[in-house]
Amino acid sequence: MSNDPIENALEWLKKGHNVAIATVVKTWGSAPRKAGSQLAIREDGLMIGSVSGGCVEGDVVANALEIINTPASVRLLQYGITNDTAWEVGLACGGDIKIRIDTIKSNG
Amino acid sequence: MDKALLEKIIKNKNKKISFCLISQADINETVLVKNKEIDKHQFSEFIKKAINEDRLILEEINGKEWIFNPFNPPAKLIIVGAVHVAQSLSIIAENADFEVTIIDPREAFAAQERFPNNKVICAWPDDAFKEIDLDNRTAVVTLTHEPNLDDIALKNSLNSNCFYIGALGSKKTHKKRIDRFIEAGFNNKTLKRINGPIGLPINAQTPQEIAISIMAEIISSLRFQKESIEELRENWKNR
Repeated sequence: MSNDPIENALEWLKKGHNVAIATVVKTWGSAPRKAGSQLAIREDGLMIGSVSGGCVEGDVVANALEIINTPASVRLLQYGITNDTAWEVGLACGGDIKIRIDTIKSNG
Repeated sequence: MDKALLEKIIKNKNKKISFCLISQADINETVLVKNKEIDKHQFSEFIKKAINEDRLILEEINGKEWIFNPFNPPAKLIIVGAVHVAQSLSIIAENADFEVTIIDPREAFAAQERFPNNKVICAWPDDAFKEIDLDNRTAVVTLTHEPNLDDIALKNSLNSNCFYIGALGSKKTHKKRIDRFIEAGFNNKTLKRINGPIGLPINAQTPQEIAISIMAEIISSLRFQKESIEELRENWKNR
């Protein structure tokens, strides 16, 4: 199976799953993955790809699952050392990242 | 985003063309722009920048944030010399999303079975290079140890825009090579484009380790600005 998030997302859609795609849209300082990096998320929580070194994926998936079964939408997230939740989901490397989540319906 | 857009993205990736996804940061609408549509687009400047620099750009335009997410065909690696190092190099290069082509006129080396996942061209570099576009997303590595094979490939590469040229061989071999090329009319500045001895100096010993040092050097050329590469090399030398 390919590691490509988009290819996996399409396969999941074809099998009837709703999916979300998270994309790093901006980085400041020392961020683990460059802008454009993507993470595909299936409605049961399975994920392929990455938007960080593993630091924020858990929270990104949680956010994606909140909106994955609602009408197609986007959500913007920002993580960094200045974030209130830095201790839980901040970036160990001290960088900041901004992430956009797109949801896609299997029947859309 | 919808299913049709994902299908379009994969279709265009497979066609190996450059394209760009454009969306307003907080709005659920994404369009794919490619080929001639790029010049006509109201944001063509940013689309071209994203594609040329191969990085996503988030830009505020008239008070609204726009995302320009470029997709480029994979970088290419041309390996001249289907030797043992080439077998390891082709595997790690492919894992780093390079599209690998192997060239060697010697049939025993250029056996497809030795490179099950790659395009193998059993021909002299001159002929093989006729069907390859050595563009600015292409790296060329010569590994044959045979000057009559390596030199042809290196001359073709020096006359192209490829972003990386590397030649296997000791310092002594490389010095002799440079002398031959100067005699053939190349100047020193041009010849600096050849990375020789090839690879970052990690004291690699086995073919597998040499492949890693070569791949690391290729990536440094792809990802660093030109000046930084010189600096990087100096730092490595002075360690």
